[in-house]
Amino acid sequence: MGSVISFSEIQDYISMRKNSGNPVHGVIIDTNVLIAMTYEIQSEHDVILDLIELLMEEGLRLYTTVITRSEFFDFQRRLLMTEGLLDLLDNSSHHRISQRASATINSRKAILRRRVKASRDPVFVDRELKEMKRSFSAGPHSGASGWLTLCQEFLSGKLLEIEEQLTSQGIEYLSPHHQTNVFVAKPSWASAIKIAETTAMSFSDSMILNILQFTKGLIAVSLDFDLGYATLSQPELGDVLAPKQLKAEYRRFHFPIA
Amino acid sequence: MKPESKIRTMVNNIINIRKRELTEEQIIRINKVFEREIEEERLEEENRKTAISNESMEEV
Repeated sequence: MGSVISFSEIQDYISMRKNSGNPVHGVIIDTNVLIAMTYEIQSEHDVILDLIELLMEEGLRLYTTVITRSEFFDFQRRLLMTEGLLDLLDNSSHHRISQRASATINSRKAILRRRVKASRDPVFVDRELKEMKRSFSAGPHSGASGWLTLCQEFLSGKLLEIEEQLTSQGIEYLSPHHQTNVFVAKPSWASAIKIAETTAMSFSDSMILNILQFTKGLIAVSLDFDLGYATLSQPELGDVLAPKQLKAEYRRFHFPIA
Repeated sequence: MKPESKIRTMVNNIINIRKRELTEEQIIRINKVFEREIEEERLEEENRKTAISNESMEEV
């Protein structure tokens, strides 16, 4: 307990757990892994896809939690809106938009370019989408398309289709109310708060580890620095699968129990 | 050849949900860009060959 396993060590780790009579039967997937797996322009896309494929071949079940699933859909929402809004600037777009709306999108486009340079996703954040929403009228006005029409075109039905893909292809939703056999005890708010307090980690991350510590036979996989850091600080939380470079980086931090 | 895994099929389907249908004008514009790039590559290759051939002539 309390180990960080690098992606290349996973098969040995699964065998070791099996031989010790404590087999792994599933993996909780962090949002960043779900995003990297489904967003083809991310640098980790191929590595993550290979890893998930390997985990499935090993017979492990893949789980998302209420937090990771909602964060993933939020990313997909922002991505679909970003791509749709940028298309509106194209001369061949069938939508007419006001000068104000066009200027707002154009000015935010520069932010996306800077994000790409900083190796971040070229996707509008919620604050930017709200600014753009304010620059449109809700309904059609003076021949220009309204925000509601655009949402209908860019989003409607697509998020549900993505949800159906996840569910039908074996990415399960992990809940103490449904998979009672996976849980050894019910996760509590008190334990989630304690996890967050120990390393000052975000609540969305502490909720993943909170679920992990009350399950049996599960590990978590993440690309984020904080999950491995937390489990090295609180070994009772469980084991975390992470990229090799992250595992190497943790050596610098002198954890009390290594 | 190994058949495509369940997870790869899922990922491709999710990517396809996001893909937008291009209008005819966009397709024409993209094709023009491709044609221009191919032509630029051809000219570059031609210039490179000419430069090599000139160098060898000088050596002779």
